[in-house]
Amino acid sequence: MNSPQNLDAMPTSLADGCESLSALVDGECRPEELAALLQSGPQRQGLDAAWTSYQTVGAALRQSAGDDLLPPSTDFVAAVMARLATQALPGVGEVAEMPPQVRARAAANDESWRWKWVAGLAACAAVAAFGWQWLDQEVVVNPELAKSQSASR
Amino acid sequence: MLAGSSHTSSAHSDWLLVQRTLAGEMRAFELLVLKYQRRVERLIGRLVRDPGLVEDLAQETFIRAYRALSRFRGESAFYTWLYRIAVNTAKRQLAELRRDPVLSMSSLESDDEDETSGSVRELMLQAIDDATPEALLASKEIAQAVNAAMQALPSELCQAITLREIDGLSYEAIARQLECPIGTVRSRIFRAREAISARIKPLLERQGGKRW
Repeated sequence: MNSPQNLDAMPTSLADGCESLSALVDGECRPEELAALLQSGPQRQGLDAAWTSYQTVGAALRQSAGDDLLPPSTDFVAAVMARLATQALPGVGEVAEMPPQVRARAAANDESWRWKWVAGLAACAAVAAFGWQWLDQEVVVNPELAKSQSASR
Repeated sequence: MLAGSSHTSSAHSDWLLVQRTLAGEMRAFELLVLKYQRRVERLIGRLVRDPGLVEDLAQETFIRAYRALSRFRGESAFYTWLYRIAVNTAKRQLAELRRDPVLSMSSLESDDEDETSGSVRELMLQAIDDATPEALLASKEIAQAVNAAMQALPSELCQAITLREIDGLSYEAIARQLECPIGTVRSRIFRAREAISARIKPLLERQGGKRW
């Protein structure tokens, strides 16, 4: 089977990405493929063009109502994404949690990390000292209470 | 012909992209914007006269959709949900600006309107009729190029893309029908799309400006 001309000229990684995109158009993309697709930085432009083109091909073949065949404006997409870049998506925080090892590494590199440790230890020591003192008083006070109770009977 | 299947796979694809967006991958939402920008603009273009305002409202539609994305449950197709946001965004803006809409707003009052029924479908069909002569010509050229490319395809590629795009069959169903592995079906559909894309690329580049 002959390859389409543009496929021959296409870098392998872009061709792989485009094949995944084609499967995504059909809802048949595997999760690991989708993850790779969404991270394919250098190929982004080629993938955007392929995505638009595949949608256009489908619309033209189906002649769907409402599907005009003109491509989207890249300026429009850039403007929307620029506006969204400044906004937090509600719900994202709960879904995308930082992996534990990354979280631990970030914490270890934090300048204030050692001070937090010192402050935490100091707080623990203060609580322990207070608790010890309170227990000590209980031991002293309780025998007298017991004595006074037995005397009143 | 299974006309609904094509919509189902598109809906599944959109659902995957919504989930990835919710997982914090903005690139997934970018693909949704690329996919639906033109449709949203055409829809809003039926409601307001000012082209600048159409673009602003289309942007606002995607921003609102993004903010509300965690509330999208997949009970309707993503585009149906998005179109509802677009119509509501346009209606709200029109009420604020007190501009004269091209269409009577009373035809859009229903809460359960969607792209495939009632007033919005009417809007979509009218949008085709109202396209500028240049846009109509460009769309016609692209459609002709797609048809010419289809005729030039090797028969196995033509069969695969036809079963997928026109008959709306899944890869599995196409594999059964063509008696070949699913991987072969996937590859044939991809190669068909690429061959057709090569034919329409100059037309899309001419229309799309910078990138295409």
